[in-house]
Amino acid sequence: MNLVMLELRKHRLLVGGMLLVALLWAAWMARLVLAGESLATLAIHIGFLFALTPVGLLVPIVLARTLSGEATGPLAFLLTSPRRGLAHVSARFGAAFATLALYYGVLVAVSAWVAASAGIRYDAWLPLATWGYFLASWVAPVVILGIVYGLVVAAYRPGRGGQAVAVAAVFGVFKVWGWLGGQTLGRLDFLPKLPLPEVVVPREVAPFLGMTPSDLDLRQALQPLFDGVPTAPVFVGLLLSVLLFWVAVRLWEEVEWA
Amino acid sequence: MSVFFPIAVFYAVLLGLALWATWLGWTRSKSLTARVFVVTMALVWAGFTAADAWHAYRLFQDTGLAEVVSGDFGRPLYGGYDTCSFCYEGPAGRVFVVAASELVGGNYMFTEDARYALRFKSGDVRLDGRRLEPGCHEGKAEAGTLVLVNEAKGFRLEVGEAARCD
Repeated sequence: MNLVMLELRKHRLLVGGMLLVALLWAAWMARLVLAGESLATLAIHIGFLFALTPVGLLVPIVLARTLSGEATGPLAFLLTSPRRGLAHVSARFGAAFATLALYYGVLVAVSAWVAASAGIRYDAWLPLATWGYFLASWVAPVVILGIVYGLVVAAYRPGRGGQAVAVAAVFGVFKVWGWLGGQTLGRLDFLPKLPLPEVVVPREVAPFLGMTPSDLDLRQALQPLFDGVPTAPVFVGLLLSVLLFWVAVRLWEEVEWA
Repeated sequence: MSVFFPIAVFYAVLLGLALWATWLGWTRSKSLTARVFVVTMALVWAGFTAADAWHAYRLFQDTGLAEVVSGDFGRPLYGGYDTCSFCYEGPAGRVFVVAASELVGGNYMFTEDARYALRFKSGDVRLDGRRLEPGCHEGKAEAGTLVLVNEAKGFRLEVGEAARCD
């Protein structure tokens, strides 16, 4: 727990900033919706989602930068501490993942509320499923990849191409990830699928989503093309996270010998 | 000189980076995990880069510069649409497919004699000027045959020897 608190204190500016942005955003959207501007709010919200979603990438980047300087910084004693690598990596991963889960949780909740108030009808489980799907298939692997990047840099002699080595390794991981994703998406039909969600977009909202103004039933429209939402990306993301986590734990325990 | 040359230079630089990282990765650390992980992943990246270069080279050889630049890879259909929602246009297995849950203002011409299977749930679709009933229609079309879609829902047009209504 001390390690988690240390992480949060170290990155209090980033964590606090992200949560502040998310909450201010929620407050502004709530103010607009309560003022009766539902359609305009939806348009603003969709536009800004494109800017707010990639902000989460800051977390793995900051994690990687911190870790890559750790071995030569004031917290180098952490790397040689008797605590196991598992505890250190878990603490960092946990703090980062919790921050991102909270941040994206706020975004998803605000999106769901804004969409509902604009008249879009959807299944009650849809926001929660979207959140979980995104966290498992994207956020977890990218966060742990940031940790691995930083540890790889720290495991090499400083100033001698450590960054190039880590960049090449991360590119390789992305290639493997993409290859696994492509292989599994078409072939793992036996995995359970999520049902197509019930989403009904009323006529007046459709133009805001770049569609012709007509009532649109998403499930009806997609049914001839798909029989469900594949969960293969979730399994691939979890598998990749576990493998990278294991690599990170071993790296942590070996960094001190570099 | 081949048009592929600048692309080859690009891939060669990437490949050089990957191999340099592999060398550094094996020699500059004492951590076994770091060495094995970095070398494996850098070689994976190098392999994919080499494969990409090979595919790009074959693409240029097979189709030529004009087709690659224009993005027109000998499609059996020529044309487009005004608006559509949830649409796909491109190869799907052994057939070329135009599929959309809702298609407005579609205008396609067969560029070669080909089998087709045309299915739609509702709307106004014309094949060579004949208005079609909703449902599925299959047959052979000559080059130059026009498919006009004023508006249609649940639209799917397959072109190719494997196109079937089933």
